[in-house]
Amino acid sequence: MCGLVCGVVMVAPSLSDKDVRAALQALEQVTDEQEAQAWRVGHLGKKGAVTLALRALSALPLQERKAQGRRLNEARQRLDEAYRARVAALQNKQPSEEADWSLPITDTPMGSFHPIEQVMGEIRAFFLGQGFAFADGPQIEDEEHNFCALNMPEDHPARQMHDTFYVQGGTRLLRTHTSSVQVRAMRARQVKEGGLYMFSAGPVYRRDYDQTHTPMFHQVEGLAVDKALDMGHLKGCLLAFCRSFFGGDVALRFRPSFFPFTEPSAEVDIAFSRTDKEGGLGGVGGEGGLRLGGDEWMEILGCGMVHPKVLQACDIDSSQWRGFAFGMGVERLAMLKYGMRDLRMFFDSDMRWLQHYGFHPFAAVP
Amino acid sequence: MKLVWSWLQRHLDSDLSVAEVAERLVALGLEVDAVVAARDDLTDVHVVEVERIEAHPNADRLRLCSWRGADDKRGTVVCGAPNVRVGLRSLLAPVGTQLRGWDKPLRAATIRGVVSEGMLCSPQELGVGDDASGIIAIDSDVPLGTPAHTALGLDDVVLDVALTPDRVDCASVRGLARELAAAGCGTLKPLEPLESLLAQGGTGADVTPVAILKEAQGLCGFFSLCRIEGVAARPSPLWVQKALRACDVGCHNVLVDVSNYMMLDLGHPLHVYDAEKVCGAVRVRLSKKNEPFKALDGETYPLDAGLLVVADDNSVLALAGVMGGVASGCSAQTRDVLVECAHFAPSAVAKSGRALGLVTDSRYRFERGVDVSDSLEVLARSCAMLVTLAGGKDKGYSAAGSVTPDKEQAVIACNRETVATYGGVELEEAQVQGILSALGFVADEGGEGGKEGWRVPSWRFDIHESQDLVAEVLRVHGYEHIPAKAFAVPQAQMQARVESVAYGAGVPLLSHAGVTGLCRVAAARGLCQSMSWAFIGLEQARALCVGEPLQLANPLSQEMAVMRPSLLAGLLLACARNQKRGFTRGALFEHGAVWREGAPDKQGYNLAFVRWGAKEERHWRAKGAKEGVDVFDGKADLYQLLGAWMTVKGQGQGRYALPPWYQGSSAEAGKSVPIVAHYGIPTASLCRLFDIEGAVVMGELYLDKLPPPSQRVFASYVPSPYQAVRQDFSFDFARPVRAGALLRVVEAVRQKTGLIREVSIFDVYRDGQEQKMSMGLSVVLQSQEETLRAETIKDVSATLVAAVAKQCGGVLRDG
Repeated sequence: MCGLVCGVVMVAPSLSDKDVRAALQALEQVTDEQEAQAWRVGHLGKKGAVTLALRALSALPLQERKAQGRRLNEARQRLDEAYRARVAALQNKQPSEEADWSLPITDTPMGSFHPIEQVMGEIRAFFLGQGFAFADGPQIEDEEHNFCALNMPEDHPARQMHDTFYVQGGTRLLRTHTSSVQVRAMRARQVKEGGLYMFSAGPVYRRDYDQTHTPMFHQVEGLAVDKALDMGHLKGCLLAFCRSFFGGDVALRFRPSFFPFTEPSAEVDIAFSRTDKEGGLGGVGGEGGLRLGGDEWMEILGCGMVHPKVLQACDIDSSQWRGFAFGMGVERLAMLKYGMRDLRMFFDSDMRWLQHYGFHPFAAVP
Repeated sequence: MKLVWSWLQRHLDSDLSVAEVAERLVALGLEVDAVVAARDDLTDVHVVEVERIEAHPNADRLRLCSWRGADDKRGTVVCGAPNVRVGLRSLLAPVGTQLRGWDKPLRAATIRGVVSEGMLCSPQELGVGDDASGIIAIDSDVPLGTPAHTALGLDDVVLDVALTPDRVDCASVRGLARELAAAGCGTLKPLEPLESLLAQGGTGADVTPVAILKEAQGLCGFFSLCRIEGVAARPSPLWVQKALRACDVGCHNVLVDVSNYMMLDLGHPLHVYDAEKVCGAVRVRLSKKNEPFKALDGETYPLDAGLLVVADDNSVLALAGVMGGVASGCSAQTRDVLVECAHFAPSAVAKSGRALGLVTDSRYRFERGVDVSDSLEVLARSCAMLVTLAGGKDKGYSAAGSVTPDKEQAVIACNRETVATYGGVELEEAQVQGILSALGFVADEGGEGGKEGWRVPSWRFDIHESQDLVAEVLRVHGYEHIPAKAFAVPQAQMQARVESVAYGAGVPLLSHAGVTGLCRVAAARGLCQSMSWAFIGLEQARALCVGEPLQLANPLSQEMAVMRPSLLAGLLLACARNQKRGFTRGALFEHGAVWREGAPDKQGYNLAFVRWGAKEERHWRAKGAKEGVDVFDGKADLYQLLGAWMTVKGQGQGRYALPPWYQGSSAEAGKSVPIVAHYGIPTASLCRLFDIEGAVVMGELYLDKLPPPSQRVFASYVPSPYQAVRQDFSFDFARPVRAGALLRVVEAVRQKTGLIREVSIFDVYRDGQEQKMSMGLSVVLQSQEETLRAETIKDVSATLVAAVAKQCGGVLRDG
């Protein structure tokens, strides 16, 4: 390295234009701030060439002193500006080539939302937006709310469709569907004059465990009770939901079915086709290989007009009020939209699966 | 319900194709799960008879079989099946046959020096079953040369119709044909005229006396037995066997097969008794406590009192409408039979079926409803079929009860207005009437149907209300014709609504926004959300709760026997599973319901988390990759989570009454009652129980015990414009002091002086052996009113030092 005197042009006591040019050239050669600082001391410092030359002015006659003084001041200003510019340039110097910015960051990797959380959030956002109120109820129910009030008395064969878990030492059971919340909401209806628009969501339990059934799964349930509702409104409501949920121009098929708590009852199928590509009906995710539209049908939900016996059981005058209700399996909707294949993996907590099918917490629930 | 295409054609005259019929059935609410096509790849395989068997010259287990086919065609094959015998009819795949699943057509093969021209086939080789132990045996009455698909009954298309529980009237071929005809898919063919109805009474001794005892009246509306003498219990003819097999009904002998065939054909279950094994009169009565009954499934059941049974003088013959008994069952030796056609109440049949856990085709139908009015006709047709196929002579029947339903069929109103009101479809009155009439509903006395009402046909048990008739009209008219109407919740309703409500005792009402916020914080901290079963093993539950957990009466397994008292169980199980899969480091969280104190009504709601393994992933800059997670990782998670729900002051003062599943160094959050969360290290025994290795930290928030999120209220605050001063203090202590205690002292000084803005502990040192320790405290002083003067700073510092000395015994270190 040059040391402190490096690049200093020794001119004393006067300073020619040539000297200034030489000084400026020397400034161009410095490569870091430390060298620039040494250059400044050499030229503009107390013992620098400019300072010495200025000091030497007093020995000159007045007229020459004035002319030289102006010239020297100009030179000092030039050198000072050049110095500042050089320092600024050195400070903004681009990093050297050696740094490897491709090294991966060490931030904590983001965790994820479970697909059920995501899908329930999507459904909740839709129905809250439509003006339905959310209602929750106990997961351990009694036969009255889970069956009897829903037109499933003890001998009803439909009870066999719900293989039920019972709690030891009593008649309490794990709810087999979220429809029990309907009953509670209708019975608790505050404004008797007004209609009731509610939905519920949460885990339900059935004593069944194989490739396509898990003993616990999630349902979303909706109910509208008012004075002038019919199957057409039910169709309109569900069509709007499916369009919003699947995000496309969905084709739905309503076909007659049976539920003890609705009449007429329907099951709803969605039109789809199989593709070679990956993805669920939502056009995203896994290896489902499904696409919206086509000539195959897949069941997505059950619905119907609330059975008059259910209204009566909830102390609602069925000659005045009518309603529609619907229920859907959240896992099934998730699988259709996002293309997961194995139902059982939803409850396995496999880190690999959760990281693959999980949702970013801030891009996630709307 | 399996619907065999050719069987349907015996009842329905229709031009529609299989696909069209299937589509129509779905549109009518009779879902078609599958259409199983006929096997058309078996035409080359045909029936032959084994004429001669010789030993194979070069193999002990193989034999040379000479066969004879149609037109006296003959050949020889090598066969190793143990069941081959002279006279056996079986199926031969000749050379050149392309069998399903085989790469190439069958070639003439030389097996140990002998040429085999073709192959006698096992069910597995033909792809018609799993049995590979022997060759298929074909009944001796099947003509030689019959193609395999005909001989096996695989030449028919079968529709698998999934019946909903209400449509038992369609649990027969006749019922489905009736439904299709009503929907305009063809004409229902009249049943073949009966040559003669049975004679009632017969001649004295020939007929078995029957009675419905008083206790059983109301549960059995009608009971009849027809006696047929001199039958031969031989195998059924092929067409009956084919029809039954196609419906997944096993074949026994013609006596049993005919009763099954008639049940599938007309929907009315029947039973056939061996008349010689019935002693005296037959009565329908209620069972007595512990009366023994050996059912046809081979099991002996001690009956409960009060089940509906059919009994003779000695014992129970059958569990009415559910299953017959072994003692009176038909065998190959049966000569005389009693054919039963009866009507049992759904509740009685359901009760016995449930009591014994028996699920049968008969129970299925009686439980949902069987038409009583056709009982005598069904009995007559069944007996006629039996006499035709099994020989014998019917000796007349005896009966008790009545074939008129005890309740008159209901009359229910429905017209175009009703259809429009519920169905949202505008139809002409004539359309409504046309549909209902075609379905068998009869306009009541009033004439037009409509307001006067419709009389429900005797075979329908699912029609009780006007809405049921609307459903009938809609499904025949077609659900696709219901117009979708714009739907919106009325404005007034929207404004009046409470966005979230919880019903039921003890059900916490949680804010979705609050829970979602917690999830976001958890996920942002690297925790993945998991979902586990709400039920866990008893031992695991006991390890995670105080008192006894809530047990299920009928769990799926011991691992799913009780309702979880804590979410930690699911997370620790997940941790163990992931560790076994090689995930040595991970982090999970879950929120969901828990049941505390073993009470069904104590449904709580928690959020829990677990971290295991190293603090950090191995990484070029990672410093904690070798260190396991510790209690402070859990504490950090917990306080960040709590902070998302509410304003948290301080970070807990230490150890109070910890749940026993946490190790000593754990702590609880929130001194005030109720305690809202715990965090810490699981005890070693808990880790052993869940089979977890290495460093683990966990925590659980009791969300239902947290205060509900409320609008945040801010005290007014203006940032001070005056300079802040940082003062560091190092205190030496002669005995250990908790950081919480030191911070409490600082807080008191802050309250007193109002000049402390921030405080942190920057150093903690403990002398390994001795009790002595020191803590470094950094305090930022700032006044809201003025620039702090040197004296003031000195005063505050002195106050702090004095307070620490007095309350914690701390001495300011020199320098």
